Amino acid sequence: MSRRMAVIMEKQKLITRKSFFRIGTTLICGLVVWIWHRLSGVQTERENRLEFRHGKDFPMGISYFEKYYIFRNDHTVRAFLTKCTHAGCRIGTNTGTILQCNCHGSQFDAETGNPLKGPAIKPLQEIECRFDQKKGQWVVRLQPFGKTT
Amino acid sequence: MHLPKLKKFLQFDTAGWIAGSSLLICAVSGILLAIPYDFTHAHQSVSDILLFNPAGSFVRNFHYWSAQLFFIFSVLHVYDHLSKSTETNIRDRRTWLNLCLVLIFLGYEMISGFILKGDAAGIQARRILASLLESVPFFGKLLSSAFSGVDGNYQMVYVQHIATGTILLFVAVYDHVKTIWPKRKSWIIVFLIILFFSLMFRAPLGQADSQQIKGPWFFVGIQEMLHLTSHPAYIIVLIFILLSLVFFLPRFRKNYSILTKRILMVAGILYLTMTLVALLFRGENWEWKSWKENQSSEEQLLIFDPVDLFSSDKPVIIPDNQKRESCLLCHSAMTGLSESHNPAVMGCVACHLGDAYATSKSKAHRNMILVPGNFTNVKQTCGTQNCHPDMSNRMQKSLMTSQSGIIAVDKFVFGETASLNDSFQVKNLGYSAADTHLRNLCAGCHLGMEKTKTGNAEWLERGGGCNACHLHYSDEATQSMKRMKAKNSANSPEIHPGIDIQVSNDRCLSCHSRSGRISLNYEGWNETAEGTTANNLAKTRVLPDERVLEFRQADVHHEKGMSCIDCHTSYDLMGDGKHHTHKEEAVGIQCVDCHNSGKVSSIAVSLLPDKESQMIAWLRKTNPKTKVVQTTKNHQALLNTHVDSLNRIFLTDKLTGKDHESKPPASACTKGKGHSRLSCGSCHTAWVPQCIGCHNSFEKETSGFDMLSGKPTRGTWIEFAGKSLAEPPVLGVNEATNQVVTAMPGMVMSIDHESFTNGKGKRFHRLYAPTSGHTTQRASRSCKSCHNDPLAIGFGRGELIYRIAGNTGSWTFVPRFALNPNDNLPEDAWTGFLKEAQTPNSTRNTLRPFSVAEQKRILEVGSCLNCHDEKSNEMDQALGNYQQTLARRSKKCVFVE
Repeated sequence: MSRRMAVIMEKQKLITRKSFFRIGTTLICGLVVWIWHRLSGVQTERENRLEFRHGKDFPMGISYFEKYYIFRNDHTVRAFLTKCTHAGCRIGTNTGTILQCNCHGSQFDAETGNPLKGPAIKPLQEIECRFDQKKGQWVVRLQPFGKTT
Repeated sequence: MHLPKLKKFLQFDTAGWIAGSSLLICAVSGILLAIPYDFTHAHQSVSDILLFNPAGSFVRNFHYWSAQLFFIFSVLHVYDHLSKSTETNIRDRRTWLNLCLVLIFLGYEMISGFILKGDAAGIQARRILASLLESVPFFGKLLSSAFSGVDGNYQMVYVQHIATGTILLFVAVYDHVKTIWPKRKSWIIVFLIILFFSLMFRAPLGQADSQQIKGPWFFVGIQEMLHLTSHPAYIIVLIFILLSLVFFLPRFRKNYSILTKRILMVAGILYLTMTLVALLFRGENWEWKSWKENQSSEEQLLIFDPVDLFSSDKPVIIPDNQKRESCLLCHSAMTGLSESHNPAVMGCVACHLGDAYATSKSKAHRNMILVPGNFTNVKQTCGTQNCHPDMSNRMQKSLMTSQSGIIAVDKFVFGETASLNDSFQVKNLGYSAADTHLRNLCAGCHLGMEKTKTGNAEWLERGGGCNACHLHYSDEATQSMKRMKAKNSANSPEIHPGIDIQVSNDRCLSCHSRSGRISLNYEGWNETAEGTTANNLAKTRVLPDERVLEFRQADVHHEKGMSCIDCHTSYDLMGDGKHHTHKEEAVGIQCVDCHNSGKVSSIAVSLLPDKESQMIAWLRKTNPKTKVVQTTKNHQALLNTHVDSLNRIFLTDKLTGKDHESKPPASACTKGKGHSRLSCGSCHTAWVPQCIGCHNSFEKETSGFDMLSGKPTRGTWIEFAGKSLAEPPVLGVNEATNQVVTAMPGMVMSIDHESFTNGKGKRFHRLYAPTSGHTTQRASRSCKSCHNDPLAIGFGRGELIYRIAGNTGSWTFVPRFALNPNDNLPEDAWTGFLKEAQTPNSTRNTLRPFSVAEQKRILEVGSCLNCHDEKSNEMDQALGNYQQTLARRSKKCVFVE
């Protein structure tokens, strides 16, 4: 028996039918997970690319737009996601400049996004909000503030 | 004898097979439910099933109840095995792993079913699920996108619910027992149980915009845990630990196995306790709520609502763009409500509660609130987060609700409090002498009084929360209500009373016809003694409580057509969220806001800071660039005004739409320093109602009425009032602002304390109160009416005589009324002639009558007015610079001593 044949025989012993199917199954699972990974987030990314445009005359205080809200004071206009930083519920308006999560009771200060009452401890996510000089409109994107893509 | 048989009958099969039977029924009913269900319009399709499709409703109930049974018996099945230690029977590690993993899918199937309802709780549950899945390390995003999808799209959840989850459950069952078919007997019994529940009890569905977010009953324990922790990932870790314990259980040694089971048992009991607590005592915003309040909340666990499978198709169809509520099946033709409360958009349940998805009248009207807006229900009706939470919170603190100022003053004169500025709540009144006095005479006027009947409020039915001002019954609405009550409204139009912000003066009248009587004054009416008129020629009017009014002179604003709400904003009326002690602190509007000679304080509509004003401006379609007046005191916008480029102010009547241009003050008002301390009211108030005094005693044998409880009482405080006069106001000083202001007798009274239980002695008070007369005139009062009038200066009515002796003059005062033996002042005086006033002399710490020095200065000018006409050059110059004019006086002038 040639040396080459001996190596092949040895390899045949290493890759049994059972181990072949195991490797095959793992590869297929890996492929599924990879495709799954490619598929997931498609809808979220599509949403992140959206632009929301508003006229320049925002009222003072909170302007609520379901997925986000805009807060205007004497100096600035800021936009925040209305997603509670605790467990992801959508927060709504309460009294004055307080935002309320009705799932678990957290409250946030609308002007800064900071939590006023737990269980939430993180501030609301501030998102992109810029003024389009050409069109005289405020443009909001659901991207975190300062992270342009 | 029968007990073992009964036990045998009840234990017709194992928990596992009961669960298996339920799963089969659940799967089949799910396939049928997929026919009417539309995941692209989840909530609308489910509500349509409930409202118009009895068969669909029945199938949905079947699906729901079979799922509940499956879940409960699956948990019991696990408990059964663990308690009997039969988990070791499963030798195959893969099968045991599958069974452990399927517990996760069991939870997923249950929560995804809950999400697919598409109501507010379902929507939020999807978000929580997504957030929890995202917190799983490495695979978080994958899991979240695959099992929770994205906001507003139920596609992924629907697919996973009907396909993946269901298949995995069946695979697990098959893997476990090598068949999916239960015994026929068990299956039939389970079917019959589910049939009974499905016919009798409706599967719950909440409103799409509900603010009470409560998860499904089996997950409210997790919701409570999430409330208790700031790190939701801990919940995932906890679930992972518990599942790992279950997975390794068969391989533990016996003593560890027992310990693990005990841990699982304790965890189970704790979870059950948290579930019960959350179900019974958690409400809107996950705040504590009483069990009773929760009972009447919109979403019940067991809703008795038998399905009428044999009913014909409903002829009434609610258009797609209208609210899905069963109320509209019968009341869709209701008219009378304004656009802001359009029932097609907001439905009926938002205000009246009841059951939005019951199709029989009795069930639909269950837990309904006939009169929404009372403070007992305002949090569930007008004041929910979707509607007017700000206002309902403000109203609870307003003086019109608390009566704090009235109570503080009354308690002060009774000697029950040392301060005029203590805070009180009328609803907390007890039964002390002062409290009883208030209950008998004053406590009927506050917004917390319940409105219990439909229809326009009678004269003495004050209060009713929001209804006090905002509910208006037109004649047609009253007729419609009467027809409904008489149950003969079948073919007649249904007309709802109006709910709007067009608050007419008569809404203010029933309360503000008392005390300062500003509502009466404003329209020119003065109250005379009950049942009599002093002047038979005068125009008179009798109030429903038999008080007789005599016409004097109306406020110039009333004559121009303005109503109360044209000046008083909602912040004046409903409060600004702060606890004020007295009314002048709560009221923001001042004459100077509209009658201003300088730069007008204004704000552009686009910059309005509060939601309420923004909403009103939007409803009125006001141009965002329009500038409106902003009050100088509390910066509230007067939305019925506008300021033009020339700084002119225009006001539009809210009720009539009539426009007025506001005039700046006359030059005399602002000339020199002579009158710089004077408030506008000091000169422009024509008259205020003034009593001479009253006596209060408790009559133990006389029948009375407790205005707070609405019950008759034995024994009552009686107020014996003297004359009621309509004359120009008395002037005094507000020390806080250093202004000369108008005042009137407030608490000039004697109290017979001995007449009340355990009371001692008698007490006399001479307290004047600040007043805003609401009898404003364009022309001011004359100079003499202040400088030469003893009533205006505070001495009371009588004659002020200027006597000249040689080169000097002197004033003397002859009072008209006798001296009161308690303080030796004339009955109608505020202070003594050229005497410092004793304290206390006012119902406010900051109000006082003129000091001797001030009296002298006033009388000094009065002495000039004896010779010089008030329109003369000399007096005009004096107004500009008094000291300079005085220095130039002729030798003929006889100066006061």
